[in-house]
Amino acid sequence: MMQRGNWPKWIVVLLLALTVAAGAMARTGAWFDEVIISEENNSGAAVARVDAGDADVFIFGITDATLFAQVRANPNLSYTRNVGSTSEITLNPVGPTFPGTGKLNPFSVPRIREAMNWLIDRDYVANEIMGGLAIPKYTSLSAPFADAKVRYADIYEEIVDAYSPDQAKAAAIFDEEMPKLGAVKTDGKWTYNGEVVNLICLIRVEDERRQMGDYVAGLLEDLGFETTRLYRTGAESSPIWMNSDPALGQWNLYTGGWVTTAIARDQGTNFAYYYTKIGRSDPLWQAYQNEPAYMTVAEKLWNNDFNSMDERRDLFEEAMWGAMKESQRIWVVDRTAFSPFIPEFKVASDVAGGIYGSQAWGYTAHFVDAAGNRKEGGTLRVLVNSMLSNPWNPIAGSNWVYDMFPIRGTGEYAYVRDTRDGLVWPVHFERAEVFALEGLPIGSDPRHTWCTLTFVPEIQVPADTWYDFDATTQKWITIGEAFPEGTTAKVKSVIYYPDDLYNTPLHDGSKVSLADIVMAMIIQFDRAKPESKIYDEAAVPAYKSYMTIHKGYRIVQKSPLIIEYYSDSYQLDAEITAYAFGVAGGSVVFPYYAQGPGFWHTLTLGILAEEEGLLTFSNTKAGRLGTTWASYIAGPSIEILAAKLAECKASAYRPYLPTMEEFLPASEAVVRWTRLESFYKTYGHFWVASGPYMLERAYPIEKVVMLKRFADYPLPSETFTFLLNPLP
Amino acid sequence: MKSVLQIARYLALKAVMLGVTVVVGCYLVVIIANMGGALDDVRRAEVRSNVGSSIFLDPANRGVPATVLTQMVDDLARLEFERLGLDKPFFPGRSLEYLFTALSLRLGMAEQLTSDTGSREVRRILAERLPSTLLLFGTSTLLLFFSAVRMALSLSRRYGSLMDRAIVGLAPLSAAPGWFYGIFLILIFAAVLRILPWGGLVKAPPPKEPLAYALSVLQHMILPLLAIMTGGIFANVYRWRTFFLIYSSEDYVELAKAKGLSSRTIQSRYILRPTMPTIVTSLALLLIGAWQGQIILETVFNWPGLGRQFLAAVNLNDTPIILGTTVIYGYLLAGTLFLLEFIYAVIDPRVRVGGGRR
Repeated sequence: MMQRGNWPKWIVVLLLALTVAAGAMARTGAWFDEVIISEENNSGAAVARVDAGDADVFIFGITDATLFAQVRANPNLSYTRNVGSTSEITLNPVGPTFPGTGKLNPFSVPRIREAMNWLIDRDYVANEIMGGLAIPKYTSLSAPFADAKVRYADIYEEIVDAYSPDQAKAAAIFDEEMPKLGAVKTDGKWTYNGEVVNLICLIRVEDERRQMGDYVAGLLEDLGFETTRLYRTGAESSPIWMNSDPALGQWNLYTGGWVTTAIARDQGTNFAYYYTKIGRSDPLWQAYQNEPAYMTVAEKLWNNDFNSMDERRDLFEEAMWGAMKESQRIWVVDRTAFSPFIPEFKVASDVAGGIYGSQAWGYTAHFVDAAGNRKEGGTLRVLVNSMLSNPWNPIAGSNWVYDMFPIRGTGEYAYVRDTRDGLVWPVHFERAEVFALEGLPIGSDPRHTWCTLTFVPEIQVPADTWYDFDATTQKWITIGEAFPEGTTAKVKSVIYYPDDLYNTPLHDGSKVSLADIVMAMIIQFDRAKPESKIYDEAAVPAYKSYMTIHKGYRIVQKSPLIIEYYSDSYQLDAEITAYAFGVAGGSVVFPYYAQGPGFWHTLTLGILAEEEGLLTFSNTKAGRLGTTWASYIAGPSIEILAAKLAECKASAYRPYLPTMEEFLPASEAVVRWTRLESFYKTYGHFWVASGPYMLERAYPIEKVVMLKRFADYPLPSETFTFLLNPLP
Repeated sequence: MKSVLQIARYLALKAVMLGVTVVVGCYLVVIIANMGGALDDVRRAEVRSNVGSSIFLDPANRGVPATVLTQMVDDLARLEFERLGLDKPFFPGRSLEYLFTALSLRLGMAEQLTSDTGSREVRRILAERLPSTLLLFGTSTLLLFFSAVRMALSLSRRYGSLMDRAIVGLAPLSAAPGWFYGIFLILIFAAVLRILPWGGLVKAPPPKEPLAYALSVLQHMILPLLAIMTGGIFANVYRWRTFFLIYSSEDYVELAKAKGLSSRTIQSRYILRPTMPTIVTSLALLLIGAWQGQIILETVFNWPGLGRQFLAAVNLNDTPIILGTTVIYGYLLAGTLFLLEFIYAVIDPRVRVGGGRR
């Protein structure tokens, strides 16, 4: 019996118990119980379907201004916007006359190119031509990204002021420079050698760049030029502007465009990429002639050849103004796209990639009730404009952006990329220590306490560090063997994994093991070795490139796991430098490959099938061998993978045994094959991952993907909901 | 014996002519689809552009020397050129390779597209879309054809009736294609009334029970079928009715009427029978036309048919798929025309294979 005087104490105990119980029952992983993704290839119909309650969200980034106006005016719909692409005017720099035609090319004069900045009214293009779905753009830097928005916002603003529209000024410069080229203005028309100067405008027709091209051509006609407007698709125009010698004079200006699908934290390479010979080997780039001073700063920024962020700022200031003087490209607008959804739907949408490009959607997508509280459970109905157009496999499967949406929901990297600023938050590691050579321009964000940055005078790579993989012996080549005299690195990252890493559940009931991480390290090298049974010529270029910066991996401790990663490559942010180790942008910190999640047992099936020439991971190799491109979710690959599974289970197969024996006990192999078989029998596919959603089934012909909540996912659902809030 | 030889010679000549037509037609498709070989420059440019952007704009390549990146682009572009055959001249080798692969019905591997289940085999790509295509367009063709013929026969006996005048009046409605009506049908039945699906083959998620699946497919077929019927029925009825009217006013029909034969007998013996070759020809050609699907209608209704697949292949310049679709249609057409020679002889006693005399 409760004594009267003790009742306050009992209430406290009761409240505590309730709190603990509620905590114990707190939902983990995904907010929704299931997600149904289906195809709708018409944006107008998709908006109508969301409005009619037939779907909850259309994840495609729509750029139709009329639809945008409809959605904005509709109280039943919400939307999110993202920076999708960039539109610009590329100018042909060859001249003063084209050797191919003898015609005059005014854009060979840097001052005339610069004058184009004053001639074009970017606000008009953004608001009138693009219907408000664009932001005026003055430099190659994207306005919403760190360099333009935060680091050098002041310089960016100065440039905006200096180059605001002033058509009289532009006309005056043309009038000043054209006579120097030998041109004469007669009856309001510029003539050269007795002929009216004709400018060939190569205008893309697929989007509003058609109107933009007409607008610019019209402005040039007002200045006294004749124009020839060539309306072409992207495929038709690239042989002309990009792959032909610009000296042939087939074009004077081109309405270019560039796509952005991820937040760029460092846009320092833009100044060399878009304006100098360094950028690309194509004929247009090789025709660029730059001021020596500009070339110097662009090259320094390309090579990260500076010692501090202050020095970088000076280089940026010089490069930003210098690029305006060079003006081989006139940046016009950053295009924005929108995705409509019902107001109850909330998700962390990526500033650059939108909802479809958000790496965090699986963790954050949910409904709210009328009071704004998050709802648990339910079904999310997603529409996407195109899906399942290529096979899924983790190594070199579909890279179609809309296939990546369900793939990201099922798999996970070692980290989650912050949808607001592009920095990352750890998922499968606890913390990282980054050591960098003194003088390297690396910084860290104080909000990211999981990452520490230390500058050191030298980083010696230990002799027992794994450097490369010998495909013949299937053993690691150590730094001691590759560099007997020893070698150094520019950065070292020490990743500390959590105690319970090996308790991380996979969708087939297995647990993550160290073998999964070691396998990820091996495969990226093995596929590029001619003596390997899974040699793929398409993997060689990325391997060769990686080896110019790679310095090795070293397992310091198996449990709790600690791994050191050495490299000569670094990013400006320590948080990104910490994990960025892997061929072709992959990361071996956790087994997520270029095109999706993969664990040693599922990958082994594909490897064995590729060894026998039954399947290949890459499309390129499939084309060369005339065999099937591996799909882990459907189609003829499944039977082949199932046959390999039966063989592996029968022999308790372990891959790369000379190396893996140390990390992969026979008992683990038995368990993995048994669980994978059970998974296959239940779901009929081999897409095993560790993310908050699991692939229940893909219907390739019907174009439907069914995801269901992975009930064993360990992290609380609230873990990444902070990404829904604006940046502090 | 002489007549058999004559027939054989005629049929052989016919087969050779049809075969040559198919070969020439397919080779023309190869040349047109590749812009006479000029498409190679476009495709090389696309490959280099895509590879270049993917390498140079990848932040992961930060710190890699520009010379290494350039080499990487060159290597990857070379591999892609080899995969697509762009390292070899279009004439004569590649163009003939395309042709023979198609004519042999091996069909080869697609260059860009994959089948819905992930295969590059053109056969599989086409085979996967075939059932849904035949289901919708086979059904609509048969429905449209038989209902139009039936109604037309009936109207031909009621010339000038209210119904006849109504059909004549409504015939111009067929000037608009089925997909045009499809948009309105979607708005009415899916958006406003919400009683029928917006499109697609089946509801999402697809039912697991076969019967429920079939019912869902049938439900999804209602609007596209209705659209096709609306777009085609009036003109078809009008066309057949006019055709039958001509035969209905022949002297032998008038004589049959004068003899007091029943309307049913007149219809079957004196109108339908002499018009049978035309009817069968029309039906056969309509049925093989269903093979190609309907690009816009499939797009409007999000129907996974061969029409959309063909459009995707054209957009991506995937010659093996374009050619595979064409060559199968060519064979179907040639085979049908060849078979019709026999069918005419069976259904119309006035016709003799090989042009033999009575």
